[in-house]
Amino acid sequence: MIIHFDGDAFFASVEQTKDYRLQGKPVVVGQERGAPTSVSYEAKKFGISRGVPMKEIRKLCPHVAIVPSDYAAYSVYSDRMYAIARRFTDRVEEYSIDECFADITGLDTEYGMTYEEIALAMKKALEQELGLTFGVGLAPNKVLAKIASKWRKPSGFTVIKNETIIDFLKELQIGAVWGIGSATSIHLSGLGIRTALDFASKDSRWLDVHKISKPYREIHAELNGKNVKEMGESREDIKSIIKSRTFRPPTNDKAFLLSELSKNCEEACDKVRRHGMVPRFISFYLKTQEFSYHNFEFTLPVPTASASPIISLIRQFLDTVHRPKVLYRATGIALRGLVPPQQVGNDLFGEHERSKKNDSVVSQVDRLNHRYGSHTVFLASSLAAFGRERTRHSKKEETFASGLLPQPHTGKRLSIPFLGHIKV
Amino acid sequence: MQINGFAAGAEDELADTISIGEYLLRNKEASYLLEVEGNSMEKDGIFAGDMIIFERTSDYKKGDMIVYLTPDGYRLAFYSSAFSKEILGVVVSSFRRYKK
Repeated sequence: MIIHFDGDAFFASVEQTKDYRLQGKPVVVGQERGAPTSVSYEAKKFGISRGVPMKEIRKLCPHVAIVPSDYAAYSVYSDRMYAIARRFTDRVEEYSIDECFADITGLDTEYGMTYEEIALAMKKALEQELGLTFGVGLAPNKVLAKIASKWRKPSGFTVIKNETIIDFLKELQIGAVWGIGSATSIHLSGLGIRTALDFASKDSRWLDVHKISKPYREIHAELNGKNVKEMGESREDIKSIIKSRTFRPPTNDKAFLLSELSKNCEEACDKVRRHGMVPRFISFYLKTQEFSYHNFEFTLPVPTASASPIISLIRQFLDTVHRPKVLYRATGIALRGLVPPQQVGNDLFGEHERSKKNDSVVSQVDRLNHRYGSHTVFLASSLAAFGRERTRHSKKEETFASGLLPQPHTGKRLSIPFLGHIKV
Repeated sequence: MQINGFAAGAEDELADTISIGEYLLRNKEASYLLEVEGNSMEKDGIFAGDMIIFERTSDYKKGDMIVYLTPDGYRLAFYSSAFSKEILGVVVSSFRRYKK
């Protein structure tokens, strides 16, 4: 199941939260341009849209507030949107500054919630914490989720199920479907296709005869309820490897959490070695039952792809994130700043030489595991974690992409919006 | 716990560095800054010019310092069940600068 989140009049709404005096008032963003980049719902009531030239806007609504675009602020709110979505699932696609997809397939059993409940919990967290509203669509795939999120705005929540697809497609103009541009929509209307349902109802023979190309066949399949479009990568390049695992029951036991982290670390190191890289930074997290992350990031004194020195550092830092009485449901680790080992320079204190010795042990372990199956040999520190049953979706939590963890609080940049003054 | 023969203090004093951001924030994605104007809350340790960080949340309890919005701007109050206005969030920290 896929959720699509679409910020309602995103730039204008961010301007309204930045300056409370704009709340409830018609706001147009894009003072520096000839036409608006965003129009608040209050301004839309006056017939203002993004197509209306700036010089016409004052005539339509003399008291409208016209403000310049502030992309730095929009990207802070956008990063927060992605980070909040990622508390619930690693599988988030940052589609644009005001939209993202989240794949929540399988999380219903993991969280003991229905897909609708998960989608609503995500919507609530986004709206509460950002002070903005979102159109939210839940559907079996991305094309239908996009249709659903636009169905009711602002702050709508729409679910499309396989059995209700027809209700949504029968009145929908084919050109309103995601991925169908104006040229294609003209071409299709020449073939007698007016609505999304007209297109969805065609069989594969019709698609062959009219030489419908692959991207439109994918749209056709998704309009019929199949899930064929893959989740996209993050905007950033692949620069890190992440391993995480959810376990049951949730626990506060530090020794157990460390063994889970140890296992995450071994698996991540194994993968990073297969890519012939070494990480320069490590971040790890404990995920609470409330889906918030307690995390920590540190720089390795010597970049290494060997688990045991990393685990000793995690052991030292665990106390800084572990809180008494909090129940944790998952742990995870990200190996960041991946570089080829040749790029790593020598250090002053001989740490590098010591870690090379360790590397020869590691390559022996890799050979054994390669020959006799993974986890034939593992670190004693991971023992408790290996003893536990894996939860069903542990595999799916493996991710190979960057930026999948929320920025740790120890990150370099802390962008907290400043909202002005408070009178006391 | 003993380190090099000296009794160590509380757990969080063991770290030799502290991230100010992490110290001041609880849920970063929900946190916002406001600058205090006026002196009616000096008895509560809130002075003009202080920066406060509040978190947009509906999770507050009696006695928590909360932020709400009036037509004339943001206001602070201590939450009690009699409070009837719409609450934006709860204050999680404040900080003050003496020199810069």
